[in-house]
Amino acid sequence: MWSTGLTVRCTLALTGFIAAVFASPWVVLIVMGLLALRWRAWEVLVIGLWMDFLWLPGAFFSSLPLFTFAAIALVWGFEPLRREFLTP
Amino acid sequence: MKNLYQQNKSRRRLLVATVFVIAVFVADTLSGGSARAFARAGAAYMWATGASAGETVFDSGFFSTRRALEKENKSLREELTQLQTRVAVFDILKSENESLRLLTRFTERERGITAPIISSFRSSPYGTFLIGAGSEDGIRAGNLVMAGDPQFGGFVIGRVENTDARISLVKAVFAPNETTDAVISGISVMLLGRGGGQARAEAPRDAEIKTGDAVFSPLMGGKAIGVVGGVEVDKGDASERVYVMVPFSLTSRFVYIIGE
Repeated sequence: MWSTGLTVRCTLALTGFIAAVFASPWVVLIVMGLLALRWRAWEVLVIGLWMDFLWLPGAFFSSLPLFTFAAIALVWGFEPLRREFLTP
Repeated sequence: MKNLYQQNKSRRRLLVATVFVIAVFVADTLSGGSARAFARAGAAYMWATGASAGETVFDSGFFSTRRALEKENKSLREELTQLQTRVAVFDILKSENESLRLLTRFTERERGITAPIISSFRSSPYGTFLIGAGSEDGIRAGNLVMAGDPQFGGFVIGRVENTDARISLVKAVFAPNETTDAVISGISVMLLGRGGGQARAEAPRDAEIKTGDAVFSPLMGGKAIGVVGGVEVDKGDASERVYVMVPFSLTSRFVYIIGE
């Protein structure tokens, strides 16, 4: 039941969550991209939201929540590619 | 058939997650940022735990002991480790003490409070960082955040954007793509933040701006926000490019918060 793919997915998701606090935003973006490219990863949305909750200044929509938008764009933007090539 | 079922199931899960994220957004906005406060408290806890774990590992002398194995015998190594640990602890205390002593000079000039920085400067894509003081400590949105050497008046490095009970989010003056009105040698310019305590501006070619000039901002209570790090003039250009920076490393442990 527990596969290597799932381990990699969990590791990437955990890396994303931790990197949001400790690392450069590029690390988070790359992790989100990798997750969204390979899986229908709902955690990408949560990581994007977590990033904006932590760092976005002002009230919401006074500045654009870029990471949440990026997460939505990534998970749905890669969907045709995933469906065609990657999803079994 | 099974694959199709699994695909539909995972797509449905993704759709539910998307709706959930939007719902959390709306709920957070309606509740005045309670979800954000919760997330920031969690991040502050993670940061404190990480910093404490890092200090424990490096102060333990483990890495220095490994290096010393190549050169010294066991007894000398142990002694060295002990001394290094003491020095490391001393350095930490000294730096903390120095940082706090510098900040006490601010209190002689301005009314405000000292707060610790509880997040990384480089993690935020929006040029923000967290400080360990909030509305319960009298911090309000719009308060100015100062650091640097108070002997020279200190520098405004940011402005409080959001306050929770014990944590506040500060936006750096030189946050990426953030514009700020500033005055350099009597000339008004518009600074464009580049992150990492740096900004850039265009000034008239004949402006007498030189490296080291102080940069003030009327939007920051007329206080200094940086110094000129360099001036560049291209042939044929009507303007010169002025590079502005914060004249100290943004790694201080404490900042001073004052009203505008």
